[in-house]
Amino acid sequence: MRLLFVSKNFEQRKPIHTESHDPKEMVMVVDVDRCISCGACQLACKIEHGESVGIPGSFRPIEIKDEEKEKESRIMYLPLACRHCESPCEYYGPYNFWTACPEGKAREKNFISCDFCIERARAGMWPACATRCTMKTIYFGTFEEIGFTLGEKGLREMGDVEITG
Amino acid sequence: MTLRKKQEPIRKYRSIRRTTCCNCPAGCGLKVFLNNSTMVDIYGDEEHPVNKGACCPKGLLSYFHLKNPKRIVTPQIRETLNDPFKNVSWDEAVAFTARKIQALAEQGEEDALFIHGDECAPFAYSSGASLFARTFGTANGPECFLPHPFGNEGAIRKMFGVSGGQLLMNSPRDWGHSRCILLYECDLAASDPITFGPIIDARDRGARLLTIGSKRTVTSSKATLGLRVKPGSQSTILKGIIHLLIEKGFVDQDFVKESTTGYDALKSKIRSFTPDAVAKSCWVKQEDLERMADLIGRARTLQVIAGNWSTRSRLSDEDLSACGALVCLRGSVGIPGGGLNLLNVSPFSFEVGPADRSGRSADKKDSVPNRFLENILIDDPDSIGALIWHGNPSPKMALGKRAKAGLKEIPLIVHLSSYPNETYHYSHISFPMSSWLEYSGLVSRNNGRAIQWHNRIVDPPGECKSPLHFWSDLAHACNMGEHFFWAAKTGNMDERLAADHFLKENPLTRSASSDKLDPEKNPPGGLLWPCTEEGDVEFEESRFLIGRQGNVRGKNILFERHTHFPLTEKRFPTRSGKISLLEISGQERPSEKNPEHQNLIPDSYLSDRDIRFPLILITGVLVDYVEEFGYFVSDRDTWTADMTAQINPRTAKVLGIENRDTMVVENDQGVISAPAWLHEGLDPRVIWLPEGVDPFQPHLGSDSPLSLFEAPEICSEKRSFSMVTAYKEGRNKVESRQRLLNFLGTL
Repeated sequence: MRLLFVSKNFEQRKPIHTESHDPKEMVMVVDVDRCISCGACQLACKIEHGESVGIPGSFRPIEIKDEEKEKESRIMYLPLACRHCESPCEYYGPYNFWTACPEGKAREKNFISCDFCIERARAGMWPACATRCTMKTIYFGTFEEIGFTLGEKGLREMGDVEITG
Repeated sequence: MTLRKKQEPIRKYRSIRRTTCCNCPAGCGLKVFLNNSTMVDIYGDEEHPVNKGACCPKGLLSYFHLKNPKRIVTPQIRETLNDPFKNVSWDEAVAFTARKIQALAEQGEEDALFIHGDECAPFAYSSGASLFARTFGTANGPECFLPHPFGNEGAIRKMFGVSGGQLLMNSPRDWGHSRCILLYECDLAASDPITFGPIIDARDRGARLLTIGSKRTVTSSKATLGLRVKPGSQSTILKGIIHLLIEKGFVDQDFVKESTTGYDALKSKIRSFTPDAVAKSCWVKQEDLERMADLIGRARTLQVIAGNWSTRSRLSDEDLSACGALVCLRGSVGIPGGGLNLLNVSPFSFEVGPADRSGRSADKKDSVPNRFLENILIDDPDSIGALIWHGNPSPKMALGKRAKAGLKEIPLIVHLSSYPNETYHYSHISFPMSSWLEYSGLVSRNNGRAIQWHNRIVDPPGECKSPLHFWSDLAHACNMGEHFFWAAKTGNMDERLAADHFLKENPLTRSASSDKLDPEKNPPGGLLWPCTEEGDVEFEESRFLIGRQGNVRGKNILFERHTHFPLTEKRFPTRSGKISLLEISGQERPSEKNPEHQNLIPDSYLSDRDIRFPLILITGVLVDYVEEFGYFVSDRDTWTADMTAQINPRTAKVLGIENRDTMVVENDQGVISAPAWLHEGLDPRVIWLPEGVDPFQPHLGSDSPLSLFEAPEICSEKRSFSMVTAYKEGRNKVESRQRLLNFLGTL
């Protein structure tokens, strides 16, 4: 499982070599240039899971907070999710995959973290957030499949060519 | 296994119903999944040409709206505004209202009945209200309260022959052809996310996206170039751009010669708007202004979108006519990718209709100007014998304290309520209203010049009924039932009969009918108006249109060359048959009606050391909470719940304000206290508060910022800003202002 943010405005460009990854690995691609921070993904997650699991919120928080808590202000709004990595963090609130502290003591996996809507995937469907995204910002598929999406995204950069005369 | 994007739930369901979302004028198609008449899930309709399966938070929140325990579900009555409400039956409430209103008619005071309306009102409210006003014989119907610049007397009507409330030249299906899109004073990402979709698509195809507004927003962050200008100076910057277009030879001379009049007069009026003077006056860099003019001038096909449902009442004739002139000078009228597109348009202006019972309101109409409720409440509250309104207009009134004092003088106020908002608390009688998922009806206001149909999906809770049902019942109780023939005295109503009647009455929609609009019987998306002939309700054959599948029936582009505007013999339905460029004045902000009441901030206002109100207060739509039926609803995990009043961090530092500190904003009109929210998107001289909040809102309980605004002039637009001062609660006001002045003087 992987969450990939793409934008033509990122300063650091790391080309994705799809062949160096498992082609069957599931990837969620967030096109940052189209995201308008509307929060439909967050609500979609809540509608999908909120009632059945009986939890108060969404697995898809969209705020990135400032690290200094006393100066807390939003830096940006983006569709985020726990990436199930090996280093626990506090970004994703109570729905972090890791419930343990960052020091690494007593790590435990949290069973109610984002699982890319595994039930929907079993029924052959995209996760709820990607399905309901207002601006078609979120794509979903295997590494193999998102190659097309990323290629198209690269082509779109033609949009920045100056038109003169 | 390849996963597919499917607008389907994994929950168990038995049937799918299709309808149209009425939460905003975007007009998205929805699929509602039902299990034995209980809604189990809601998805965007992937076959609908507007949203193509997507759904914004407003639409998704309808899912929660149906279950919201705060909804008002029974009619309520009270004698005075200080008494508690008593629950009564619907029939009792109707009979009580009818008795009081008929007493006015018996005394010959029909005009004392005021029926308020705004442009966001659902068709079921405005159609019923307008017909009731005409039949009853009051001259103070809902159309009197609609914004003047968008009406039949506004500049856009004089310019193009079509009123601003009906002018959307190119439908969103065509926006992908634009090479340059100018969004003028609208934050579509916050207010109409789905309507923003085709604009971002066009940008991704290479179009230049330009924005002009007083605040940096999510919309402007997506733009190629966004200008943040001094509040109230937007039309000045447009005139500066027009000046540069003329100077640099970017004017489409062929189009100007063939289709417009008054170009030479425009040229001489615009002469004094030199880039250096305009840049200084509007707080922008001259090179940014010149770059914007360059991008507009070099792009073939320019589209201008001016205002949206929330900002359009603050746009003036000057703003609109300058936008229109920009499109004309680039020759972008009647061609793919062009057009002056004013959002939230409707084919119904409700200025013609069946004769009234007294036969006198028709000739009185001309003498009643467009005005604002706050003007009447302050100048002449005794003239109001009864007031009927809906939604939440009370916090949107300027001069809040004085206007609301006027409300307490009115003998009868009837509110069509969904939630207990501030307007509900200023009413004697409250009628519970159905949500649009709970009744069928026409969707007439739209960002894409479409008319659509919404279906009743679930049963309304309690005694909730539709607004048209209320008007029909009231008409029957007032013995005027024959004009509301679609409703029986027993309370049953045929919504399709009513809609068909209104569609046939309107020459612009006469070939449409409820059956032709219903998304369950037709391709979703409704019809584009004008649809005057039977052929207009078919798909348009045009090689220009992208994606035949996602098309809508009707005419996508108006004013095409060698065509006549529907129902006329001319391309442009003006007297001369050409577009008039004479509507633009050569002043920065003309205020001829009241020269002392200048709607302009002097450039040198900070040089006066005794200035009392050095900051500029503006307002707009808040992204975090969805305003639904006049009530803020949220089910998002938002952690800005205790941050409301936006202020630039530099200004905040001078005042010693941090996030969540209580900030006091004050001027002669009143005082507002709200938790501060430090925001880089604002100029240090500007403060921003969300519009529409009121003390009864669950998440954002503070007074509305509009209560600090001055009253608008009659036949004008609402003020777009107000001068205020701000300080941290508990600090010395005079000292804070002095520190503020010292800081602002250094900018």
